[in-house]
Amino acid sequence: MPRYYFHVRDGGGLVEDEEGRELADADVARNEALKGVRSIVSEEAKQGLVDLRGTLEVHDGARLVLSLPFSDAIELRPGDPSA
Amino acid sequence: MTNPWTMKMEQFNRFTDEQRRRLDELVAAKQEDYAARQDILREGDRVNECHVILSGLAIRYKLLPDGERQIMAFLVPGDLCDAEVFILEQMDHSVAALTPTRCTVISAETMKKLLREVSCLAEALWWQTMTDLAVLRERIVDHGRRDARERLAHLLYEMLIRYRIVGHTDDEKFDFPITQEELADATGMTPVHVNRTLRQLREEGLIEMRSKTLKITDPEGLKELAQFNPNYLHLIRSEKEQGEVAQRVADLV
Repeated sequence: MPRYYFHVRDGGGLVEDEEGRELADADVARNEALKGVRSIVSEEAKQGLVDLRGTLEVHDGARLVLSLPFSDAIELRPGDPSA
Repeated sequence: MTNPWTMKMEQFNRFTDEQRRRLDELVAAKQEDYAARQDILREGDRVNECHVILSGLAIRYKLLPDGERQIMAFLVPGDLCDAEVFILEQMDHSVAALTPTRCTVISAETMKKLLREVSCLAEALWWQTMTDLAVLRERIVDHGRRDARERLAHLLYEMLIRYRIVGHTDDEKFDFPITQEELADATGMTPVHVNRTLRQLREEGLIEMRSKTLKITDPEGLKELAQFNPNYLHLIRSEKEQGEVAQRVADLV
């Protein structure tokens, strides 16, 4: 199984994933990426500040497989005060 | 050197030389080696042997039908994998080695005989089971009330203390082969979230992690962040007693 590395790029710089994980294919890696971003966002929501300016970059060792902006991992429905 | 099982139980009861010798013989009698990621016990197994970790690191875990894994406990040298072997028909969860792990294997019959004959050992084993449950209670507090940073900090600090108990630390530094995926499965986080949270702890000067070694650079700071109260490890009893064991345990926390 290929090994995928999940690097987080955010305001604090790049958090490199030095371990990586063996996953079946790029689809599984994408799903893991979504879960990863969502767990960060949900923890931030509990603290009251959600910063969606980060990106999760998934590499397979040779190349960039996926670049997932945090904002693409969740659907936001902003409240409309006039509604 | 004293075997880690005796070392752990002697936090509770001081054994006589004869009792120590008997434990040493028992530990030496039958040992088995497990490769990294190999199951020691599987859910559904009918078990009639006890396994005590002598070296390495193991996890107690459950696998869900969708493949998700929850790690309930990390088992370090001196820990008994399956105290329930006398009571239960079959295992209701699994135990696996994370790194190459050596266990001593004791038949249920031998263990029962030992417990009948050496009452202070029975007490110590009961105490050990109770403290394992106390560690498990902390995991419930983790999931219910601690945020991600506190949860991770608490787990790291707890591992420091538990490794110290069996003499596996070099000051605040110890082998830490646990991967981000395993930390995630133990704390209900994701590996990506664990990685980012570990960076925060590093940036705050609390820990250093290098090639599978964890160094707690600011033990007081980490303890404060985790709001760590060592009472659940029940080390206090040995502080009252004199001698080599008390000295070893006195400075643990």
